[in-house]
Amino acid sequence: MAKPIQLITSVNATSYPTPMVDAQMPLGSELTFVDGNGIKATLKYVQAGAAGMAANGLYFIEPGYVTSVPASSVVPKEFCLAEIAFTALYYGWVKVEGMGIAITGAGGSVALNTGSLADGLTTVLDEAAAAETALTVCTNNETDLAGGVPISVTLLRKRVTVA
Amino acid sequence: MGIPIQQIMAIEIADLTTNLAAAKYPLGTVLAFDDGSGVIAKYMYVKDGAVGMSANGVYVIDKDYKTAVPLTNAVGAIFGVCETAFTSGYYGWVKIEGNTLIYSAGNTTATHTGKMANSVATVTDEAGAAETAKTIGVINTTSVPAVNCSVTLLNKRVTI
Repeated sequence: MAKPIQLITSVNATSYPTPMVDAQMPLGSELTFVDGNGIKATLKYVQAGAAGMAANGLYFIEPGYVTSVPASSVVPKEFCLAEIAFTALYYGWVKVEGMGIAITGAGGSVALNTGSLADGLTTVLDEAAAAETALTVCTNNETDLAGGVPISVTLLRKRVTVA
Repeated sequence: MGIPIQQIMAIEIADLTTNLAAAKYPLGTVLAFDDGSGVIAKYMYVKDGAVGMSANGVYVIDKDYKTAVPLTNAVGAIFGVCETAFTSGYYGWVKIEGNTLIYSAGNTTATHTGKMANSVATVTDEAGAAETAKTIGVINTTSVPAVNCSVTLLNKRVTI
């Protein structure tokens, strides 16, 4: 008789997405679900780097599933959005696809423009146009002319370079 | 009434290490599970590209899910590790993400990244820990000389 070996796991909705000091499941695990926004949401299980992660910050996912602050890179990198703050080296879920809240960088954002990562920052940088580029991580869903403001973004599932 | 559309597939555990002359699952099927290593394990169902594959070799997977020995490639290819030898033209599972063993092309250092090289099915130490466009995974074994070394595969497209 065939034996099912695919991991069927449940995530406690009351505890999600609280980061924990010990890993609760294999690093790299993915969770895809409908969160009511009309767009698929995908989360990935990672470990925060030595600097931790700020809520609504955008980060790289390095080989080994450890996060880091984005830096200039011509090598396409995997990225994520930390929806809540992570203590350094804690384990938890980050968003890699779908809608989330990110903080705008200098210059703010215009709705429907694409957004990119910036060297040394965890904010979203408006690309001043709607066209996708090699740097694009998301579509900005809100206009903010001030900068430093939480806005809705729709994350794309891809690897990106950073200027 | 809601209609469940996710397919829950059951496979024989033995199939992960057995390859067959006829396809048993759809080509390109990806299977993810907890293998107890602390890192997710993902396998893809492929067809050997008529050359056979050696155990612990790393191979590229083309658009038709056929495997081949890595060749210089600027486009970006997906890849898989054959954990047990494949007979030429047979169907089976190769590992695309998680911890596995790959025969190294030379000395290796733990924490360095590893890449593929032209015309060989081995992993080559990239002499540093930085991810490059060629990186297939993180090497977990320090060894002199070449051995089957532990590698954590990244599951990404790479150049060669």
